Amino acid sequence: MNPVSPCLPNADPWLAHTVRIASITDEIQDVATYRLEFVDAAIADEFSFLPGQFNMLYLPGVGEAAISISSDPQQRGVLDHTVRVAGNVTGELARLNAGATFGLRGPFGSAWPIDECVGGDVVIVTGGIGLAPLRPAIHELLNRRDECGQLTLLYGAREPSGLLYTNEFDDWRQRGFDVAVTVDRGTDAWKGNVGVVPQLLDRMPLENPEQTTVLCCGPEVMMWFAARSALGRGVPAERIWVSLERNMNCAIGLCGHCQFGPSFICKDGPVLRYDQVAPLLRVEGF
Amino acid sequence: MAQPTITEQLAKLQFTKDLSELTRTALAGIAQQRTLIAGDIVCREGQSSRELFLIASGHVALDMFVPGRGQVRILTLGPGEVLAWSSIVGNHGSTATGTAVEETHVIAFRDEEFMQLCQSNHDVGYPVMRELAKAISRRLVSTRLQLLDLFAHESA
Repeated sequence: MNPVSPCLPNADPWLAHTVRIASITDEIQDVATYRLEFVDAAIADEFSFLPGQFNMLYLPGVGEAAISISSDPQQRGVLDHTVRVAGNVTGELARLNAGATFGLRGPFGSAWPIDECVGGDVVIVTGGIGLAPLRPAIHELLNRRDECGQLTLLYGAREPSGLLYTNEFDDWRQRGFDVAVTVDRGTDAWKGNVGVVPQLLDRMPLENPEQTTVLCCGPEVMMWFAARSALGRGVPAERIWVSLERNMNCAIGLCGHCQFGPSFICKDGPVLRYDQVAPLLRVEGF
Repeated sequence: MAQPTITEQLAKLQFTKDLSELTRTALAGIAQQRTLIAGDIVCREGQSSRELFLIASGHVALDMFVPGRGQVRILTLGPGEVLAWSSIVGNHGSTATGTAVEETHVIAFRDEEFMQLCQSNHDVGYPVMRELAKAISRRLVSTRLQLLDLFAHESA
């Protein structure tokens, strides 16, 4: 399994730390990025995370929600979470303004295998809001750009208005990522690619498939077909990684809400090696 | 830098790279290279199409006309993908309009020469038609994924 980062050293994983909303950036409809800062400066200094991990955001009187961290792991003191309104907690969060405070537990879960990526080529395949948990990996790979081969981001959404972080694509391109974007449904104004994301993977040249790592996050059907394409192109199954989403409650593998076969998505995941989860990905009930 | 020959290009493109060298050479013998600029029409919906195109570089968009909505873009094709296969497996009537969205290099096969080659030499024809079937299968899977509307829950 992928290495799991501990929470804050010696910290009680049940203990929520108070964070303040430093700023809110509206991304697309019903999706915003919340920049959070710890009220306790000591916690701010101590807190670190790995790309792919998540925090539990706790709104007193409402509940908790597991939200991936979407900022650069090297950026200390603040944390970004890109959140889609999907339930009570995220709905209440959407009603808060900058300056509001609430609780945060974390970081939890496994991480994208950046150390295994370096030295080879990396293809990130993602769709919709699935780009948010991969954004820290993009930052980390760019932070270590000289250690990597070709870096490619294949990103899709239902329509152009569903694309996240579009104002960052040029920066990522300039720093070394080849960014290809597609939408399932074009509009009159859209001059880019129309089609599904796995098609971009089918089409792209893979010079060294056996040395290529694929990181994938999005709807499970999309990830399954992306993995199928990667396998067909010669990428080893053990170099394909997916991020799964389930109903996470405790975040430390005790409550069982997020059990996925022998794994708990909150503790063993959310980032898992494709060959270890593939048999269950297309089974109803999992 | 010299323009790669058709044979060299066929050795790299997804549609033809797994074919034998003999088969690629046979295909190259009936192929023509063509350069399109943005806006050039490759095939037009409803009209007869007599050529199969393999995209070597660049992109071609497929549009279908819907009354009341006009031209609706349904797909963008890129390097290694084929279009206008109605000329080979259909009744020659194009079901979509293909338009180059940028400078695009295509390899064109006249339908009669292509069919003649495949019918006269089954060692060439079978693997070529198998690749065409695989290309159609990939397109079918992509269309299914579009139909599934996987990101619908993310839209209001």
